[in-house]
Amino acid sequence: MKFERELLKGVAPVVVLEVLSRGRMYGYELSEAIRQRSGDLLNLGRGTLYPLLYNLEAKGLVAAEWDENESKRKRRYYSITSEGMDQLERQKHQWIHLQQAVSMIFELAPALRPA
Amino acid sequence: MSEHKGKPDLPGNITTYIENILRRMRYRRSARREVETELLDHFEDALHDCADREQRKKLAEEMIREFGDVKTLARLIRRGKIRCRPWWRTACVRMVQGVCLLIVTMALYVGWFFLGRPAPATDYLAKMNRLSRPSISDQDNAWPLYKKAIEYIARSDPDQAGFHYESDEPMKTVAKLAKRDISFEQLSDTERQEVLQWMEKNAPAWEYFRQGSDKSYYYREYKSGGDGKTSTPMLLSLSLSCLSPLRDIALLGIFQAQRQAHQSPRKAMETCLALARAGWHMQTRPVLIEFLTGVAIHRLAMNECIRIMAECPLSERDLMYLQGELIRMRAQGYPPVPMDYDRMAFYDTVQHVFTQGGPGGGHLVPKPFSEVAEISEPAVSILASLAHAGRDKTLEKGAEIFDHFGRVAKMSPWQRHTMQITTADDLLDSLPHYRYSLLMVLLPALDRVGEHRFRMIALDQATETIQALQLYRMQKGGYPETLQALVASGLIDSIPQDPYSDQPLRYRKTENDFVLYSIAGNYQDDGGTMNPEDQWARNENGRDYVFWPAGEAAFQTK
Repeated sequence: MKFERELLKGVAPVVVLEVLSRGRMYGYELSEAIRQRSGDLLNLGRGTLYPLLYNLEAKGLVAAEWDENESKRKRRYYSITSEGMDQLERQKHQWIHLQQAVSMIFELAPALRPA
Repeated sequence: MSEHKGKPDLPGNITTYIENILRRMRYRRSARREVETELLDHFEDALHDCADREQRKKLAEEMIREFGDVKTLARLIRRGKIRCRPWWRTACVRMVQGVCLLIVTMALYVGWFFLGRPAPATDYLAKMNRLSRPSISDQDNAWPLYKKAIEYIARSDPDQAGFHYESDEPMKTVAKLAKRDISFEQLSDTERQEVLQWMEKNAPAWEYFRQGSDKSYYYREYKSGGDGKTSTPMLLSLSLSCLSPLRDIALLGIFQAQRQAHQSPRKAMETCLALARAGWHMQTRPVLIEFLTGVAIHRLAMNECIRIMAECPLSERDLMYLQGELIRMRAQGYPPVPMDYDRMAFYDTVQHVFTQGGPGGGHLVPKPFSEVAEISEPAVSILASLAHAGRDKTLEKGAEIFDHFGRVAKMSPWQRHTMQITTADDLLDSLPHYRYSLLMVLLPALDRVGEHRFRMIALDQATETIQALQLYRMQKGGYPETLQALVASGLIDSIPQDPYSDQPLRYRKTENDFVLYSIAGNYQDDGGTMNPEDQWARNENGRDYVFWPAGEAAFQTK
C-alpha cells in the first residue's frame, strides 16, 4: 500500500528510530526491516530513507560508522544514540495516543481504543 | 569512510541514476563519494539475490522508480549532508561566504561609488541674479558708474584689478595712509606730493564713483569666475574681483576728504557721505563678502565724518545737512546680514559634488570634491569622499547651521554674550569632521559677521549723535548733561543703543567737551578709555570703543 507523503513524513523518523533501537543496521537492511516488520505495508520510499537518515544523524539521534558486514563487505551502519532513544520514547508515546485518538474517530475495533 | 573496491556489477541505468544524483548534489567530493558508496551498496544488496540479468534489470527499474526523482533526491541528500557537517566546517563555510559576500558588496559599492556623477539641476547663479534684481529703472542703477570707476582705476595697473601698493613709492605712501600709520597731514612734502599726484591721476575714477553713489540702488549681474569646463560650482567661483578696486576707490575718497577738510569741510563731508552711500549700496547685496565690504566702507566714512567734526568748524547748516543725509540713508532700516548667496552657494556646491539623492545615491564624488576642497592627493579625496555623510544629511546639517546663524546674526553682541549662544563654529566643531568636511570647507566664519553689522550701526548712530551734540552746543551754548536732552530738543529721535550692553551709548559731559563711547567687547565700562591696538576689545587688554573725542577712533580703517 502506498501512503500519502505527508502522512509518512511524520511517522518515518519514529519508525526508523524504533527499528534501529533493536540493533544497528545499514541502509538496505533497515529498509528491508521496516518493510518486513510492517507486514509489507510500510515501504519507506528509498528516496526518503537516506535523506531521513542524514537528517537524524545531523540531529544526533543516530550515529553512522563504516564497518564490515557478515560477508566482509563495508557498509555504513546506523545506530540509535541515547538522545535518539529519549526522542523515540517521547514520540512513541505520542504516536500511541494519536493512533488511539484516530481510531476512536474512525470507530475502529475496541481493542484499539484507549483504556 | 568506505573505500569501495571498484564499482559492483550493476545495471547501467542504476549507475547512471546514481551519477546523476551525485552530479546534482553539487556538494563536496568526500560527501558525494560517501553517498555514492552507500547507494551502490544499497542497490547491490537489493539485486544480490536476482537469478538472471533480466530480473536484475527489472528490479533495478522498479527500485529507481521507488527512489524517485533525481533532482529531488539530490536536493534532499545534499540538505541532509549539509546538516551533518561539523560546526567548525559550517563556521569555515559561513566565513568564506561572508568574505565573498563582502568582496562582492565592496566591488559593487566601489563600482557604484566611482561611476556616480553629480547631476546639477538648478542654475543657482541665474536664480540669485533673478532674486537680487530690484524692479526699478536701470537708470537708477549705480553699477554702470562704479564699473567705469573700476575700469579707470584698474588701468593704472593692467595686470591687477587694484593698486600695487608695494610696487612704487606713491603706492607705498598710500598703503601707509590706508593702514593709518600716519594721517594725510603728517606726510612729508615729497610724500604728500606723490599721493596728490596719484589722486589727481585717478580723480576721474573717484568722480564716477561719486556719481554712482547718488543713484538709488546698486545691481550688477553676477558672473561665474570659472571657465565653464570644470565641474566647479558656479556660485563658489563667483567673480568678486570688483570688490578690491572698489575698496581702493573708497580709500581714494577718504584721502580726498582729508585733503578737502581744512579748505572746505562741507565738501569733505559730502565726499564722506558719497562713500557712506556706496557702502550702503553694497550692504544691500546678497553676497556676504560684498555686504562686509559695504560695512567697512560705511564705517570708514562715518569715522571720517567724526574726524571732520572734531577738526574742522562745521556750520549749523552743514551739520543739518549731515543729519538729513544720515536719516535719508537709513530710512528703510539697516540691511540685515545677507545669507542668500552663501546658502545658495552651499546648495549649488552640494549639487555639483554629490550624486543624485535617493536609494543608492547621494554620495560625495571625489574629483569635484577635491576641486572644491583644494585637495591635491587623489587618495585623500577618495577616502574623504567615502567617509563623508550623504547628500541629504549634509544638506540637513548645512541648513541647520545656516538657520542657526540667521538667528544669531540678528542678536546683539550683548544678547549673544548673556544668553551663551552656541556659535556656528561650536556647531561645526560638534560634528565629526570626517563626516562633514565639506561643511568645514564651505561655511564662512559666520559668527563675527553680525557683530560687524552692529558695530557699524553703533558708529552710524554715534555719528548722528555727535552731530546733534554739536548742534545742541551751537544752539544752547554748551553740551547737555545727558543724551535725553537731545531727544527732548528734537535733535535725535531716540538715544542710540550700545550693542555691547543693550543700553544707551555711554555719554559723559566733561569741562568743555564730552565723551561718547561703547563699552565694547569686554562688556565692562572702562570709563571711556580706549586701547587703539584693540579698538573693540576683542582681547583681554581691550577697553571701551570711544567715538568722541575723535583722536584714536577716527583713524580706524579696517
